[in-house]
Amino acid sequence: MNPQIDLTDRNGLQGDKWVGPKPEIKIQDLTEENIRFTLSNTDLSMANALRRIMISEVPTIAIDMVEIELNTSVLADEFIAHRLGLIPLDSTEAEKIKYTRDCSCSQYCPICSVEMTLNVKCTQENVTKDVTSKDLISSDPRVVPIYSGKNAPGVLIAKLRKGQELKIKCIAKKGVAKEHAKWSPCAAIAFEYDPHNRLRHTEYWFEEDEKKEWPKSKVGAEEPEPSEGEPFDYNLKPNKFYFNVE
Amino acid sequence: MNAPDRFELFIIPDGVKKITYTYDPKIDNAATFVIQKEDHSLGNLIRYSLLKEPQVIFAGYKMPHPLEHVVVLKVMTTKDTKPEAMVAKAINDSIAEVSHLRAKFVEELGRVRTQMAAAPDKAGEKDQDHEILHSTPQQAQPVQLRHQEPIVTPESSQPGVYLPNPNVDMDF
Ligand SMILES: [Zn+2]
Repeated sequence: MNPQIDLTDRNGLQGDKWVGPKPEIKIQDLTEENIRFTLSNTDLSMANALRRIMISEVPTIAIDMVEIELNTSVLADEFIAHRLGLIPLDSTEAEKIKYTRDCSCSQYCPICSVEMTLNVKCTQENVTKDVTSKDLISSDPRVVPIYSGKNAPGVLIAKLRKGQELKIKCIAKKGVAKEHAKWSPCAAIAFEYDPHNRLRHTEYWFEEDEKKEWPKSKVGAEEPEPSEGEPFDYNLKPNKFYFNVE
Repeated sequence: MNAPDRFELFIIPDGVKKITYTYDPKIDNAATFVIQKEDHSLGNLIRYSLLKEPQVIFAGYKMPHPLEHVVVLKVMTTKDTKPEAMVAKAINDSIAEVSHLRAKFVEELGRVRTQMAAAPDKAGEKDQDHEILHSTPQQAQPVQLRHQEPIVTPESSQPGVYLPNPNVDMDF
């Protein structure tokens, strides 16, 4: 069955041309680690799907397998392995690395993984040596631990006293946060729409006065405030969505 | 111990189709679609997209069980079309909208980066520790969309004739 339907009279896709509503995007603020933007002219479902996908379905690289050759630190092997997994790695090139499950190898290979080594020993008397992600040596310059700013200290992995040593081989792999949160590309996403609750998607709890007890939304100025006693328009749809991705 | 593997969330087992559908035995032009390994991100998006169509009488979705990563979509349409055609259109419309959004985002990113390169001091004052993205703007480049597969099949190249996307694994 191949239903052939004429769609010329409808919005959406005409042939291969999109004639439906055109979503708009406006960036308010952009730094290395943060982006604040407003998405408009689209549906709540699209905005929410975008939010959900940013949290859980964008592939990144994270340490997934750890071979501990030597661990004389005070921390247990699995404790260190877990900490290693959470270290953020540069995932800009994640697209060029294969998922191991799509790879022809059985466990890992250079096509689907990046090897990293950690080799630290504390030799000084009466000093605590910090082992950080800066001590991780990557076999691939594209996939290295990332830091906020040039002078930032690395991510702390463990602390060593004299004579204690760590000798670890790590295998970083590509994955998505659906499987484990260590693969999540973002720390937090703030998502907001309808700052004046025009659509009545929520109901504010209050003791005496709603307006006095609830702080105004920061994005409130972006949309007109409804006047007192304005009738409720149940046909209204959310149209503007405010994001902040960290 | 007996927790299900996390990859069950998105790996389709061998021999299982991404999407299957059955017609409703009692209602004309109604069908139930079962989409494997998807969640509210896709389910709600398709449902919303379907509800925008004037020919769709009913569209709803559910995830029957939190441990089964399956989306069940029920659609009823008017007599002049078929539920599967409307679902295919909803999917293609969403792909087109996302492609547009992607292009818009890249364009906006280019604009903001040029602006920041022009006035780096102002940005630096605000956030000293964080280095601002100074790379050259890429707005001149045409956006290479990852979903460059033809949204409309070659057979339907005459205008106005619409066929479901061949890349969506459904057999009509
Ligand atoms: Zn491999």
